Amino acid sequence: MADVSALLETIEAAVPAGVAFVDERLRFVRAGAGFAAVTGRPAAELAGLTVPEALPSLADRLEPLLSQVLATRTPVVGERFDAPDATEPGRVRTWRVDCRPLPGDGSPGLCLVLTDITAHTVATAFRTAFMQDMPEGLYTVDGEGRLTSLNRAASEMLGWSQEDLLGRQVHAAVHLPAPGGTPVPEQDCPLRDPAAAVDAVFARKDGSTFQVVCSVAPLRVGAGSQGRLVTFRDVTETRRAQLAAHHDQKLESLGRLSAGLAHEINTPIQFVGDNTRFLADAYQDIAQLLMVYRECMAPDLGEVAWDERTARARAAEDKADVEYLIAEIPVAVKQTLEGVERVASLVRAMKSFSYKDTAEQSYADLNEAIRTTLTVARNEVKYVADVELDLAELPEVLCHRGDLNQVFLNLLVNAADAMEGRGERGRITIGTRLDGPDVVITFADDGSGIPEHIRQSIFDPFFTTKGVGKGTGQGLALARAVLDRHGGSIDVQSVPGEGTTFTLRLPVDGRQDS
Amino acid sequence: MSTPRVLFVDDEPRILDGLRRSLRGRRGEWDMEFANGGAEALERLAATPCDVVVSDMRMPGMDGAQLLTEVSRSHPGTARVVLSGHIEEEAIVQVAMAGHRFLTKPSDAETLTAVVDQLLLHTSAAHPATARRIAGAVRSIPVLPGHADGIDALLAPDANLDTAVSTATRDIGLAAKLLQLSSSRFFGARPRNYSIEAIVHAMGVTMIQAVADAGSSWSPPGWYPGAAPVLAATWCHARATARLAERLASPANRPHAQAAALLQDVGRLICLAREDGEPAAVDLENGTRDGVPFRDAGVELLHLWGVPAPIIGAVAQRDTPHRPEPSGLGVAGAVRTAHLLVTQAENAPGADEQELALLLAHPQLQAQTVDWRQAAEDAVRQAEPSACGAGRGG
Repeated sequence: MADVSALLETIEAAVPAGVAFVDERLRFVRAGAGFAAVTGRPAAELAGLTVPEALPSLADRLEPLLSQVLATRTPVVGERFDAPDATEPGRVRTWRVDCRPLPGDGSPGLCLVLTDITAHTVATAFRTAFMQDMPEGLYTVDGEGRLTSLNRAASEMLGWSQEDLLGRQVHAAVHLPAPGGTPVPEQDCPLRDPAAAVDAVFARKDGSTFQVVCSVAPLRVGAGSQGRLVTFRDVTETRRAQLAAHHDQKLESLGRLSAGLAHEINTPIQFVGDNTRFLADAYQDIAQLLMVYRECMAPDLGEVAWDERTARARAAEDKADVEYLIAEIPVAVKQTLEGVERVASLVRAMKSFSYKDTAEQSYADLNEAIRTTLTVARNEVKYVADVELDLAELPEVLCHRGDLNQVFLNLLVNAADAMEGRGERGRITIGTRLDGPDVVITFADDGSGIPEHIRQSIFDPFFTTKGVGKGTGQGLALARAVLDRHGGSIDVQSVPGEGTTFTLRLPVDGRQDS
Repeated sequence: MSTPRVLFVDDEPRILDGLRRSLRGRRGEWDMEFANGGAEALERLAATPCDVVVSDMRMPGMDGAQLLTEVSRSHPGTARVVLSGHIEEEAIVQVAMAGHRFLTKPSDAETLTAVVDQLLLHTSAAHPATARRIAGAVRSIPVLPGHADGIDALLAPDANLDTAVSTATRDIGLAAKLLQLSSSRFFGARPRNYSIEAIVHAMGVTMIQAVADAGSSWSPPGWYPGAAPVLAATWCHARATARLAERLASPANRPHAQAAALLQDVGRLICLAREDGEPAAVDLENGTRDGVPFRDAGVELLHLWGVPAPIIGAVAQRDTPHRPEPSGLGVAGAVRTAHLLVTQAENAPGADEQELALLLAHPQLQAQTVDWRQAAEDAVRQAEPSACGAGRGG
């Protein structure tokens, strides 16, 4: 029997579970080392304790089960219980319970095996979440890019079932056929290497396409070459919303601009009108004066003395206030023409500012674009700050000019808004320079600055410090998007209380798509 | 009387140059001064008072609304004209309170000179300067304590056009302000006519709410002692008369008659409101402030605010026995008749029965089968009996 006991102990130690023998009154006869982990106390201490005493957290479900096995002498296999961990409070473990009556007459008791299947349960739950419930699409491929699994969301988005694609090259099925996608062989597919946030276009089973953002992670299962796990999200709607937001932002700045433009146009119109009315009156005065001159010159005044004639002319000149007219008329004309030119240049600038971009980039003079933006937004700035231009000679830049105008406007208006509450007029400096293959544009203001804690957020969509109705928080988000699209960058340096500088960097020859 | 002085204020020198030239024809009639900004304008005014100031709104440093508000305090006798190309949403309400008249740029010289000429006229022959000073200081007419329920309903988030119309046709201060603002496009579309209802429709609820909010937030530090019962009676009398005058007037005169009846005692309201520490001699018995009859001050206010002439005429003549033209009662006749009827219905003294009988016999009223005395009783009862209880029989 010693041999049997040794064998038993060996088995108890080898099995990754708790093995115990319990008598007919549910008292532990012996418990294997595995039970130490289950109960949180040394196995040797368990002998003599009842099941409820040794396993209080499992007792209410374990006790009836064991009694049932004793009564019916039928084994129970693979029952699952969740119970709080005995050693680690707050953590729940899942137990597999197997119970078998001991052979023999009377009530010889039973053998109880508790297996911790928590890890397995969690893994299964994870798998269900990933494969069934997660709204993101997910698939895995082996080293040759052949599908090994496809989750429900991916299957719904793509129109393919897992069975359809199992063992087929995913790239060939969903990536390659998409027009506007990546018409490259599998070995050049950007989804081959681990990456985050890759833009791609996928094709559905029916041939229609949608825009996605993918992330790729390496996945090694068993032997063989390394596979990949790809998750993706349908961003068609998001992109559409971004376009709409872009449009909203344009409308917002247009609304703000149009009020200012009305003011900028009404002012010259007012003084052009006033000056023209003055010129009309002045013409009347001069015409009357001419009539008097003509009379004085008339031969039928024959006997009237020269003195008398000069006296009449003098009187008429005094009445017309000739000196005043001679001094004022040229100035009135000059100011009238100046007013007309002001309106004309404003209209030119508006036309140039609202330049409609085509899908293709074209070469544009960015210094000119900055001047145009400044003209259009003059009314937004002139009451709060002086603007200094420090523009270097620049080559023409391949870009979407209308989008850049919008960015310049946003930065200029932000700079003007940064002057709020500073009491005196501020200064805004706009500079351009060439730096190797890039054009660098800076918008610097000496306004309130951006507090450190929000500097990270200013480029986020809908982030705004302006009051309700003042801004939608799209301006800088849009600026970053536009610069990204140009293969450029936008950065900010700011010292609260001293000012802010935005630095834009744009490749002269446009975005280099590799 | 010395030559009137007119001060023009604009930050754009070209505007001032243009005005100087185009108004040169008036150089014999007006002394014109030109200031390049708010601070300079205040210096000029401190040196020599002006009769009229015409100011731009958006200027660096002190803007037009600040300037005109300051002028209303330190130079209440100076009439205030806004001449602006555009007014920002945020500033529009301050402007509405600060100015007397509102002109848009571009305005031609004729429009501008017509407004200045009007403002140089004083309606009170007996007390031109004092009446101008009392009326000129007013930026908005305060709501009587205990009568703010209409304004509260209007300012509620669920207020709609109907709420706005019902409040504006019963609130003296709001009605007067809306009539003042309705002639300018700054505050909304042009109304179809000068009925308060049409003005409310043209301006829209949001603008009306903004105006009401700004107007009611200016409440005087107090009222003159003993004014409360007088004011309560005034308020109810105005509402009842407005209700009745609208029915008495011919369709064409209805908008003006209703407004004139509502505003008939606006002078009493502005004279009894007391600004901070302002010394003023109010004689409640005789209805005068600094010797100026309340009515004169009210008429001067309506004139400064550019309220349509028929309304001003009817307010001015409310206490004058009326002899109607056979062709029609007119606005003044309708308001006078309504006033007499309501006075009688209130059991208040002062209604001359002979005159009233003559007015009621007018063909325009005979043509309608209405018991006007009964209608007056109803109007008095409907003019919020709870709030008007204090004024009954007064």
